Amino acid sequence: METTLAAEPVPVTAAAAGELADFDAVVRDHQPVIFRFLLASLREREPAENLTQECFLRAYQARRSFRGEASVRTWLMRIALNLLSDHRKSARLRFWRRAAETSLDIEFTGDWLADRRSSPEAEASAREQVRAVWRAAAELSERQRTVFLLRFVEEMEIREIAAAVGLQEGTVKAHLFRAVDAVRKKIGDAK
Amino acid sequence: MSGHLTSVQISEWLAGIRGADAERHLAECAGCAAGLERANEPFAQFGAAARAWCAVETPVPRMGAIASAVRHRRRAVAMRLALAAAAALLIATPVYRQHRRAIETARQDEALLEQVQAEVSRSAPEPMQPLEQLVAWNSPSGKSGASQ
Repeated sequence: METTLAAEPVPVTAAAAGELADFDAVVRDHQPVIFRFLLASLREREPAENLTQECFLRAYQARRSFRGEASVRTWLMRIALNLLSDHRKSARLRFWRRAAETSLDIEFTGDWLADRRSSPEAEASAREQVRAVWRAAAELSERQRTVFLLRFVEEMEIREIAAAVGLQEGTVKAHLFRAVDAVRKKIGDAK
Repeated sequence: MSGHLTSVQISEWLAGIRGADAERHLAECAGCAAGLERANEPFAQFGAAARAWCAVETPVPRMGAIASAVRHRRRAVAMRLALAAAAALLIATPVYRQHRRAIETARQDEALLEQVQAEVSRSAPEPMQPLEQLVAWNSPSGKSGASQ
């Protein structure tokens, strides 16, 4: 299913317009989130950077159509998802993504654990588990991976994810359940 | 709820599918609560690691690049509009001229037709008009000529 931005001309509320008035601040506040999501989804630094820039460019051009029904983050995420979808349609880019995945996967060693483990063994085990989740997430379907990353990396609520991907909350939960179950089975957590 | 949480129920819980029965059971069963926490840990660690890793990778916001891209797109749109206007002018000018020529030709045709009509409506050619007047003077119905 394709995710598309709503195009109906709905009046822009003053509050919504105000949220985007300082567009520099919008970029400063949300660029890390959008880039993080695109990088985790694409596993390629350069296209993630390009799509992030394109995302803010589109947002800037469409800022007058922002209706304030969703948060700025959700709105930007919808634009990013559309760009991601267009990007993935290109067979040429798919080839390069596969080629680039290897190098980025090597870089993502799980060294960025938030807290230090009690022992080197426990730390090594946790690092390996993080890498296993990363690898398992790469094997999910596109839709499952999207909701998985939005939930566990972006820590978005189900309601927010539903608004961003344009699906019902129940459908998001179903995708997320399949993703979580598949990852748990891959990392050997679920019996 | 009869027994402890199954693996599927734990996955459901992690995916936000949370029934009242499971919630009650988790409140009462320390073993299941601990099991859920253990199951969630790889995901929580993964999220934290991905955020920390991406924070290092995130480029500095390139406002200049975005502003420049906006300007570039505006210029491109303006250029396209200018080209479209030039193309419209190139097409429209000959069409307009042709239209003007057609109007002028029609006007000339109309004038010629009127002239021809005038010529045809005369009973005698213009140089013979005085003779016609003389004939009219001699005719019985040439009252106007007689009166002169």
